[in-house]
Amino acid sequence: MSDSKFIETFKEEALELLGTLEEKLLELEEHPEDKELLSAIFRVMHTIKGSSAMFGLDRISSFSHEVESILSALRDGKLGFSKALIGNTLIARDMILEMLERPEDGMGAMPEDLTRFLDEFRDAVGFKNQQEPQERAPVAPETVVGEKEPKRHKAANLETWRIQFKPGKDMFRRGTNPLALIGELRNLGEAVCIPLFNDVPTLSDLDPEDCRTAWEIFLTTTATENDIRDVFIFVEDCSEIHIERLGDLVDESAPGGKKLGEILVAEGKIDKAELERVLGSQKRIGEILVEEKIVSTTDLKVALEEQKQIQKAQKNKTAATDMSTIRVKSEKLDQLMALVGELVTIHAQIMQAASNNRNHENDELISIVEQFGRLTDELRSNTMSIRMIPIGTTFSSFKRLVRDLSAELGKGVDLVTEGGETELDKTVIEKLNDPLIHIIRNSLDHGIELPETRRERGKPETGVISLRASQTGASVYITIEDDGNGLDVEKIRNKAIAKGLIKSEDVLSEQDIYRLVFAPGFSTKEQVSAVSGRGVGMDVVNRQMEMINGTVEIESRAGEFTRITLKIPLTLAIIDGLLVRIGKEHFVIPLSVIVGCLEYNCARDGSERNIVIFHDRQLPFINMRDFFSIGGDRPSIEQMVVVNIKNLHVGILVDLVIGGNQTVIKPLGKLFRQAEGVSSATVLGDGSVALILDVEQIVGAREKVAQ
Amino acid sequence: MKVNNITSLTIERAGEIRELYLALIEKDKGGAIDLGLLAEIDLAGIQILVALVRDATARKRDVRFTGALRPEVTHRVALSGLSDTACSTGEQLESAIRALL
Repeated sequence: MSDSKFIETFKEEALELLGTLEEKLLELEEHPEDKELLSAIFRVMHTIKGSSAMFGLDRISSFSHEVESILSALRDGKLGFSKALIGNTLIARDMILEMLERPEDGMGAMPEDLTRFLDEFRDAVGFKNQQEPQERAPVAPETVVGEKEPKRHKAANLETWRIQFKPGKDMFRRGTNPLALIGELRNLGEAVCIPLFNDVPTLSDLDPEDCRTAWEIFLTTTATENDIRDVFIFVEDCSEIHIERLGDLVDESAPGGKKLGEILVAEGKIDKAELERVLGSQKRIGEILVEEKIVSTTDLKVALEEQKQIQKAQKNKTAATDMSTIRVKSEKLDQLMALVGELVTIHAQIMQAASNNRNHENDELISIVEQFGRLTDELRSNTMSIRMIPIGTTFSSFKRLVRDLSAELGKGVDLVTEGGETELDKTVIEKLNDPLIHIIRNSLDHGIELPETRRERGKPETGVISLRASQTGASVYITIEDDGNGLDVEKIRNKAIAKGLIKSEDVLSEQDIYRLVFAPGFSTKEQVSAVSGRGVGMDVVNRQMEMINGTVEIESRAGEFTRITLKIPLTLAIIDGLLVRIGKEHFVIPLSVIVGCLEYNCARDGSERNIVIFHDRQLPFINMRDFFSIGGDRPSIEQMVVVNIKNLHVGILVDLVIGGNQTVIKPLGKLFRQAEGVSSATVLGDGSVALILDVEQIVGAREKVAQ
Repeated sequence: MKVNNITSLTIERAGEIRELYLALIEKDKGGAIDLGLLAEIDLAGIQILVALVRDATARKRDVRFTGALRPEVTHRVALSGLSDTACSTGEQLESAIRALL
């Protein structure tokens, strides 16, 4: 691999780490007491520092080191938690991200602006970056016996180790500081160190130059056993050191892990008979054992910690088997999808050719082609599922946006999300990012009122923006709602008249007025701000949604709320469709909206109002020949495809239902994007083109006409 | 040197300080030890404090640690694992030691 490829690889990993860092910082802001979160944040910064140094990105490494020192002080209790610390760490994270965008910016000495930022950061949180003498810097030792540079960490190799360290009695006389070794271990990962003072006698019996303290240490780290042994390399001849991997102690058949009593029996601290006697009483086993002086408080503490660590290791073991992942470039996925699409089309062509020349000799061929079709179907499903990711990842990234912008605007805003587990094609999610940002920015700027205004209106001072995702059929609905000002219909109308978009005498529905906000350059804001007001945002939303065959709908009530609903196709690639014929043309109806099919005999069942009885209920239907103005003779027996649109059953009347079709979606050109009733197209087995019906649009259009 | 004037509780002075604390529990029958001036401590020093608490308990002497601990001392105590949470006062340090004895 060339240098640039190494750096690219580091950049990908670092971007992921920075994403995690932001998420965890925002969580820590809500839960400052969570030590595990703090450790996780420290580990991320530590990893970025080490990895960037490895690839010669010294500027990033030095910068990360300074930030890591501040986080280390927080972790060790030398610094108190503050919003300034979170805010500045977030800014530091952004700065690292900027340096990553241009790797050449990550090299060389730190420029003045970064140094100035670091000084301001330290001042803001009260951190004094003192240079500590050698044996007094155990948490971040610069030069200590047996020192090793922090290793590059990969989250996938995290393991928990139990280390029993009993320094020899002459440890002090040899000039070794055991606390420095404890500090080195803490540097390797997250450590719980329990000192054992059992051998420390009374003061009258103590020789102060004897080392009488031992430790039980539980270390969660990506370091190897050798890395851990290296810490003790210069003292192993005069100390008792025992290192075991806690994962090896995990008994997968015991779902809750080892019980406390079992651990104490295994350690030889109590015997089984005593255990059973104590369990017979009502109190917790640990309390009783200590009360009766069967075990010491320290023994109990060690056993409890081991129990906790084993349970954690057990949970991680289960999670690890579910979460083994591999990183793949999205271009490779796109290529794979394209090839699968071609395979589906070729299969259709082979099937067509075999069917056209059907005789008893090629029955076997047809059978083989059908088998081939089933495999293609499975390949298609698997490939598509690789590309599906939960939209919650996008939702999480908006927490930072809402936090920063609401602070800038002096407003209190909570972001509530729901349905984050809803999965969408990766390409669709990427294209959704910009529209969602624009809508949220508008909500923050135009929608949510200032706290004083909200108070006057009897609303809670903190506004709410909610993001919801749900799936129905082949579409995903994403709703962005705020409990703010709502849309001012009059203001929009007047602005539209002023811009010449409509005339004053035009009569428009509320929906039509709302849709005026999508016009390029349209804004009712008096002043442009950094947040919004240029009239660009909603135009971008509209255009992006068009590009992904999606739609936007706005609902609002003045003074109460604004709700924007984006309807997006699940995937841009391949769907299961039903091939139908209307006149001489072929069309595809997405299978996900179809609930059934029935025959329609116009002479027998015909009605002026286009209604038939289906499952004892009235079923309105749309004659697609009328919809598309297709002339020619109607067949005597037609087919009614019953679809479900927003919980309403409607019939789609066609000439003939041909059969199922794996439909590779091809977008329509710009010229045809406004065509009513069709969303896209596909290429059939014989090379002809079939249009894919937008059933929701068809039903909607007919409802308007009916009204 | 008096018990409340100790600024360094490290291996270099451990022998001297041991004598001082021993006199406190043998002759003075106990008392409060202000750790507010303590600027540095190492494992030898921590051991002295542990042994003192153990000895005082055995002899039923009332020995109490008082004073606000300096950051360096808090840091060393935390590093040793003596307490799950940061000890910022002598009282907290004393409680942490007693919990482990």
